[in-house]
Amino acid sequence: MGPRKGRPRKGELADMTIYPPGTDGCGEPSFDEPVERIEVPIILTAGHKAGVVDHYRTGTTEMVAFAAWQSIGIGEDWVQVCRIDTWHGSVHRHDFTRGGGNHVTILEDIPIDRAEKVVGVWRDWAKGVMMTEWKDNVRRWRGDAE
Amino acid sequence: MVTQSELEPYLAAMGEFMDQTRDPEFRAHLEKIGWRSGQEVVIAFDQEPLVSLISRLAFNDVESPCLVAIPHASERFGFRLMFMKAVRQPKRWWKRRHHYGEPLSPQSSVGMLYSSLRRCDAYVPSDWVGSASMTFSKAEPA
Repeated sequence: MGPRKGRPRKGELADMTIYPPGTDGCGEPSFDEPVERIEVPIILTAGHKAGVVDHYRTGTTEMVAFAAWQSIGIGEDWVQVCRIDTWHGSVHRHDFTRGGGNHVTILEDIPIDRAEKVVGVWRDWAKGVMMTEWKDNVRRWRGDAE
Repeated sequence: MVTQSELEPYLAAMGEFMDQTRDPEFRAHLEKIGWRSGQEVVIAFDQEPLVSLISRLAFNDVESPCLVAIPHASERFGFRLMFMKAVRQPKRWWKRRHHYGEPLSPQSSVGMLYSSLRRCDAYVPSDWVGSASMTFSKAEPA
């Protein structure tokens, strides 16, 4: 695993990765074995949209990776306000801001021996965050709350 | 600006739909009815005026086709499902009914629309929504 994002801790290598403009540098992984991928964008009310991408062991409930996000409509575009995903071997949360900020919080490194269990538990948690913190996340993105 | 309390029923339904997608049988059902990964799912409610759903589809610039998911406890997977498709309307009015099925009334609710869908689709005339019409078709129940 590469250096984690965010401010380096003492004695730790800084993340010197150069990310292409307009992305948060956090891409969906590829898998050695075939997995079932499902992407579900969900329209809620005007200007509010959720989305989830799940990867399962084919035909099972065993989840190997996920991303869940909250978007709002700005003009003709959808912008992500918050995303929780498991790309890059850890469960982490992105809190985006209107100015292009991306505050990343590592929630848990995914252990290889019980990855499915850990990923599944965090997927439930991510759903709960989206259900309970929706408006707070929008306010934070707009800069109305800090 | 939408309030948290206005959003809550939609968020609850979103959570329920996200839970259901973890069930391989639900995923297989979605595939069977013709939904494809990446197609948008729009949450709607039985009692909601159809005009409200149509304006939400237009406001959010929802891509066609999309799946409309209506929470319903008696359904096996917790939702009634129907597809919305945008279509170009024939210029001659007598071809429209033959082509699309029954035109809908602005006074309809989403529940009334779902219940009225039989073999034929129903359509929203283009004067409601602009250049293209919308047709609705019921997905096969589980």
